[in-house]
Parts: sequence; C-alpha cells; structure tokens
Amino acid sequence: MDTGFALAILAVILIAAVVVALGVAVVNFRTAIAAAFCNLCAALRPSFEGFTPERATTQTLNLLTAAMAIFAAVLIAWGVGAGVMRTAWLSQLFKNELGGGSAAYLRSLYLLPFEIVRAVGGVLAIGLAAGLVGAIVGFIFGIPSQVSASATPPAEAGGTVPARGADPRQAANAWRLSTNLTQVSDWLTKVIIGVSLVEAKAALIELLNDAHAAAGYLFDYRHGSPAVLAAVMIGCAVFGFLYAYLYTELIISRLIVAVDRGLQPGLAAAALTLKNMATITEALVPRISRSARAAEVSEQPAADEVKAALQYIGISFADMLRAGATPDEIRSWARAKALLNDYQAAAQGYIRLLGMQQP
Amino acid sequence: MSDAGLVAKDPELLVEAARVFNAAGREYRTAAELVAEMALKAVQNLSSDDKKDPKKQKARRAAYGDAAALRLSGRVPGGYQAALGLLNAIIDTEKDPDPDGRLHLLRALAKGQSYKDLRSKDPHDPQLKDLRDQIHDDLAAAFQRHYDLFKEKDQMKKANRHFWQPEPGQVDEDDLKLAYEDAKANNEALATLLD
Repeated sequence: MDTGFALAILAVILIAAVVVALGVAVVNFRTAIAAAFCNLCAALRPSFEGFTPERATTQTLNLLTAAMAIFAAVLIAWGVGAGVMRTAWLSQLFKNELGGGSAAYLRSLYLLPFEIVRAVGGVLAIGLAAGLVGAIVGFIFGIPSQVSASATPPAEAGGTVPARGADPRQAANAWRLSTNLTQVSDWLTKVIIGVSLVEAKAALIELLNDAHAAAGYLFDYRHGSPAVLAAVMIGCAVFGFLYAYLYTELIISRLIVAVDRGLQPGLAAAALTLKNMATITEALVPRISRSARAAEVSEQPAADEVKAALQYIGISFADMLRAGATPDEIRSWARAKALLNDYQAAAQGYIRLLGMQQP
Repeated sequence: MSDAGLVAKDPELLVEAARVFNAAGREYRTAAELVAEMALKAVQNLSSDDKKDPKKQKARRAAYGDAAALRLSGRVPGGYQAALGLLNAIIDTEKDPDPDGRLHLLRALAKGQSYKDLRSKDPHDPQLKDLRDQIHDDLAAAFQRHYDLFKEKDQMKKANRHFWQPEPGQVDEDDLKLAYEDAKANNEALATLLD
C-alpha cells in the first residue's frame, strides 16, 4: 500500500471522527452551543442602543474574546494541518528507512495524533507565552493612577470651588490603597515607551529570529511555520496586551476604586449625611430665577454637609461608575459636587439618575 | 418601566436636577427647562395623600415657582399668562403655600408684565389701578414672609430692586418699572413700599 494513500485514509478517518464528535456534541449540548454562537454573533455585531457603561464593558470584552477565539481556532486548524503534513513527511522517511510495508504505516499511524498534539500544543504554547508578555505590558499600562485631593486642579482651571467655610485639609483621608504598583507602573510605562522608540527595529528583528528558531525546533522550517509563528507571536502579544489593558481599565480599576472607597473611613457617613440633607434647599443649588442677575435668596449649607461634601474631592464621576455605584451613592456624589459649586460635575450625576443623554 | 422611568417620577429629584442643570451653564439650559417641566407635571399629578407630605409640598412649591420663573423669563413659552395661571393655582388654593415669599414675588412680576402689556394698549385703562394694588399686595406679602423666615429686613427688596429701578440700558427685567413709576406719580402705597 502506498504511504500517501494510507495517510489519506487516516485523514478521512480523522475527519469522520471529528464530524461524529461534533455531531454528538451538537446533539447533547445544542442549547449551550447555540448560546455560544449567539454570543459570538452578538460580540461581532455589538448593539449600542440603551447604552450603559456596564453593557459597553461587556460588549467590548466579548468582542475581544470573540476575536481571540477566532484567532485561536485558525491557529489550531493550522496546527492540525501541520501535524498531518509532518506525519506525511515522517512516513516518507520511515518508508525510506524501513523499506515500506506495514511497519512503516503502523509507525505513521501511531505518530499521527502525537504529531497533531505536538504541532497544536507548540503553536498554542508560543501564543500563550507571547500573550502573557503582552498581558503584563497591558496590565502595567492599564493600572489606574490616583488623583489626590491636593492634585485637583484649581478653580481657574476648571476644578472645584470649595464651599464657603470649607477647609480643604478636611478632604485628606486617613487611609489610602498602596500606590507602589501605580508608581512602578508609571515608571515602567515611561521606560517601555522610551526603549521601544529607540529599540523598535532591533526588537522586531529579535522577534523574527525567535520565531524562525521556534519554527526550526517544531517544524524544521516546513509548512510556512516561520511566517505563521511570527504571526502567532505578534498576534497573541497584541491580543494579550489589549485584553489585559482593557480588563485592567474596565474591571480591575473598578475594584481598586471600590476598595479604596471602602478604606476611606468617612465616606459612608458622608454619603448618609448627603442622602439625608434637605432635598430642595438653596444651600445645595440656587433655585431657577426670573432674573439672570442674582439668586433670589442664598442659604448656607450646614457644617457637617460641607464636611461630607469635601470627602468627595478627588472622586470623579468615572470613579463612581467604575466602582459600580448605586443610584443613592451617585446622588450623594452629585450633591457633594453641587455643594462644592461644581455644578457641571453634579449635572453628570443627575443625567445618569434620570437616564438622560449627555448634552 | 425602566429604573430611570421610576426615578423620573420623583418630583424632589426632578426639581433638584433641574436646578443643578440650570446652574451648570448654557450647555445644560435646555435640560434644565425640560426637567423643570417634568417636575411640574410630576407635582401636578401628586395624589391627595402625597400633597399632605411636607417634603412633597416643598417640592410642589419649588416646581411651581421654577416653572413660573421660566415662563416669566421667556425660556419656556406661555409668558405671564401661563405664569399667573400656575401661581394662582398654588397660592389661592393651598394653605400657607409660600413661607419665604417667593411665589408672591413671582406673581407680582407676572402682574407687572401684564401691567406693561395692558398699558401699552391703553394708558388710561381703569384696570391699571387695580393691577397696581394687586402688585402692592403681593409684594407686601412677599417681603413680610421673607422677613418672617430669614429675619433680614429689606433683603428681598434690595435683591430685586432692578425689577422696578433697572440700571440704564437694562430693560430685559424691568417687569415692575411702569407700575412703580405710575404708583409714584399717584403717590400710591406701592411706590412707598418699593422706595
């Protein structure tokens, strides 16, 4: 029997086995498969009706995950093909070595699954390694930096105007999350950007050399492996970077803000004070007047209300959204901003509470 | 109904939001007018039980006052007629609806605009004297209520003097100027009150 014919039969058997396995999977897990397919389609065609940050975050990560799944599927398909092709090449070697016969065919048959696993595993291992490198860089780039109360811009530059009688020192908090990682992130980000600008060409050549070497180890430079492995390393690094960056920005930063807020001893009490303050008072915001000149009356906020509002200095609306704030928490934040005369910031909170669109 | 729809029925939140949008600058003016109208509708639809709730009463006064102010300043259509309709509906039908005098002041301004309109058509219309008396009564009530609440004499009069004594060239808010000048010419109580 000819080696090529035997391998063709093996390939048919393999394809038949895959088809049967897929058929069994479809029958047994059709609901889950349909849901996964729907999720994939939804991710590739995201809808932005009824926009909310939570939904947009989910859609963004779904889209990226779908792209990564498609990329991984292409790599696996190429790995299977490369494994089969390498088995064909090996069987030719065995035929020359063993002089044909059933021993050569059996050896080829025996090696086929291992070659496929070797090829797919090798490609995925390289992809995972490149993805991890990209993810570390993405994580470092994505760590949120903290704006301290002293770092808020002055009123002339669009910052908040403290309410009358307010002492800005009251905004200082007793406890803060460790910023060591943030500082390392800032430093590394600058270093990476600086080094990348200078060494970009050398780094690309080094990456192509590594891909070439890996192609030699895994596939003896056959089946287009130098090009494919270079694409695997670049593609997976980019995916790893994007995923880690977005995950850090959209999800981990929320956790950091939430934990940071939990560490601030006065914030819960401040939220309660602001929640319980009189709703319709000129101390919070001037009434709508017939005159464009001056407020009809002016009331002063209570000292504890000013103190509560100061707890919110340095907490932006984006921080509240990242922390998954409830409507009550958003209202307390918006009232704090209004008490500090930062009505534009406060308006963002009320727009959110009323389900309106930002003008 | 969405959460946003449920929240939007809360008149206190609507009044608060409208005022914040109004204070937030030109960019949010339309939002302020829209939400103030939503607040007005919300307080007009309060149940009889809700109307007894002091918080809701406060929201009702605020929403009516804001809506009247928007009409008097021309930001919302309807002019002084619509503003008078709103203010009469709350001042004349509720027990103590105006603790700080704001609604009476706004009604005096609405009647001042009505006075200007009537006088431009017929300077000798006999209704003008009646209107001046009504303006006097509303302003006296407004000043007294404001003083009773804040204990600051003449504060409201000083803050609103430009309505009857506008600075030269500033005619967009002179709602009470003609009524004041006519009252002064006739030595009426309105002139004494405003001097």
